[in-house]
Amino acid sequence: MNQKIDAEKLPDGQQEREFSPDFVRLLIALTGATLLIVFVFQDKIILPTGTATGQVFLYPWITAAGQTIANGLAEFSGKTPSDSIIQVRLAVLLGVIFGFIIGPTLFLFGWYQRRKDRPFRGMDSTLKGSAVISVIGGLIIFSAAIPAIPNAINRSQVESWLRSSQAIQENKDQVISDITMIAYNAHQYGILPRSLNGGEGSFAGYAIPQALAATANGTYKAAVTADEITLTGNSAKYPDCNVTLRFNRNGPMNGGTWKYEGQFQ
Amino acid sequence: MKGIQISKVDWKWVGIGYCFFVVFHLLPTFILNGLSLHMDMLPLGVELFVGLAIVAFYIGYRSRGVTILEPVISVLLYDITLLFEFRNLWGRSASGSVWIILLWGFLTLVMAVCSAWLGELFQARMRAKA
Repeated sequence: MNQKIDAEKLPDGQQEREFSPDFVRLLIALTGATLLIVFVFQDKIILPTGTATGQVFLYPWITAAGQTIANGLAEFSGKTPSDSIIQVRLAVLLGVIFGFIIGPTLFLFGWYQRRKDRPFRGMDSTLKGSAVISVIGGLIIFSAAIPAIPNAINRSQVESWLRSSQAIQENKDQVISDITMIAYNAHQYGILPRSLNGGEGSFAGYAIPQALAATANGTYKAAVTADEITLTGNSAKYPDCNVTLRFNRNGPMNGGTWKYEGQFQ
Repeated sequence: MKGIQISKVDWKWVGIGYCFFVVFHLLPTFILNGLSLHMDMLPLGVELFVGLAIVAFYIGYRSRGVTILEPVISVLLYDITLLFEFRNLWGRSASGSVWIILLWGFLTLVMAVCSAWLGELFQARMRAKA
């Protein structure tokens, strides 16, 4: 069943080799170096391997974005943003060097060498070292570029989703703020004596002041009993979204329960 | 049986195949993962199987004659090599699981056979066209 095909003969009668000596030498050297690095020196490499930084090694923009977010959070919480640690800087630098310098250089160099040999070779031409170099370069470029494609396609969708989410969250905060104002107004009504237009320990008779009942953010209703009040705010921008606050005579801050509906959830 | 010869293994391609797996599969995995082999199972599994399939296909296609057994032996040797890094490759959750190692070995061998066979088919088609 052996269907080995004889190697093509060169014009002078010599058999053409499948691999050139430089191909074999380079491949064996790279194999040895890879095994040595992976099995002997892996844990001695300076990069913060196993961390988020290590895993996005070829994508320095992700590392940079992470650092920017960390700085923003530090600013937000009143801390001074720290300078990025040396390993992060090193990871970004190596990512740039590998993805944008070493990868393209190896690929183009290998491609050029292969192109120089092409006119004299057919499909069964001898494998040369330049093939190894160009494939490794191509792999690095391919790996660095591939994740950028879905990112570019999804960018506008993500951007629009983020804007929409932020707008909903902003409106939710505004409705909550309005309801809180009404709740304090109702609580004040409950504790004031009747002589000061209060309920004297009861919510009965409470009505939302006209200025608070409808704002640019939403419209508000109150369901009142003597001991309990339920305030419902309906968003003006997102009509399917509601916020409800229920509380008793202890006030909204003591046992008040919030409920969110629609996109406010 | 007359007319049927026992196929000789081309050890040259076994060696080259093993080097291919190390250089074009282990090395890119190592570089892409930030000079480490600590990876999540799903992306690593996808990467490993796709990478192995491509390399086995290339050996089948590029070598002269029928070379299906050679990439299979290369994959076997490569699997044995990866056993030393198994703990890192598959993370803590699956480290030491004999069944996963056996399943992994079996699947890689099956895939090497299929890919090399496809490579041979492709080579035959290219030759027919030429």
